[in-house]
Amino acid sequence: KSIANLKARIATLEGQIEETRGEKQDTAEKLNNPDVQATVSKHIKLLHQYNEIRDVGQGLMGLIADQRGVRIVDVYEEFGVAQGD
Amino acid sequence: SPSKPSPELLALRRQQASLQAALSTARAELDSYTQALKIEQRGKDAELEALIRKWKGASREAAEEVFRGVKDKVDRMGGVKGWREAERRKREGFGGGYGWAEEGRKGGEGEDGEGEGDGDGGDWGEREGGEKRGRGGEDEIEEEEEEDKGFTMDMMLGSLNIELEVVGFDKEAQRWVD
Repeated sequence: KSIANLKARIATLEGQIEETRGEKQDTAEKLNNPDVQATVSKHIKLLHQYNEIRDVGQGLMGLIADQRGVRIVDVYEEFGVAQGD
Repeated sequence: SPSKPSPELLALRRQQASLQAALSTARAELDSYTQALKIEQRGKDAELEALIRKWKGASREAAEEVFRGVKDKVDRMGGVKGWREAERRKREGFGGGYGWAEEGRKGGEGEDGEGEGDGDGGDWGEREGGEKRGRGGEDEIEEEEEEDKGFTMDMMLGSLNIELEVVGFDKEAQRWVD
């Protein structure tokens, strides 16, 4: 019985592999840049740069808000950034 | 004793294991492709690049303003030498903080019209900048050179734990660079 089960399981796996590779191929055809890793790494790097420079900006503007005794959102506005940026 | 698995059964088990591994690999690849497609289709990178430029510009402007305030304070502390002394006392005294903030908090009451706690040294960011200085030998020479140059933007950024590359400041040229 276990041989039959194994054969059934193997057939299912083969089907799933084929389906997954098919999906990947369909997705690949829609991509502008075939180098998937490059696209993903660049995106992650940009996210990191964005978070870092935003932290720096928020920190500096926090110091200015402290210095002037005003709300930080007022300082943001003056320096041309919105809270959601 | 339980019967030994047949060669056929062993072969099938091996095949199942290798197919399972192949399926995991195929799924991981599909995930990467799907993620890449999402990134391309949402055009988020262009938006991120614009936000990075925006925050960088704003951060530089803000750094210039903070620097103007801090430089006055450091000059009143006797320049870089006085600032370094204050830093050392600070380190020996308690926790982090900025030498120039201490002066601000102490001298700020009414002396130049700034109210109580004009301390521009919020505890944002543990300061590291000073740690690397003042340990004799090479550091001693570096300190003297720095004292000649006076208090500079890179010193302030360092004391605020801001990496020069992140905000784009060239220490040699003493200016913002892209």
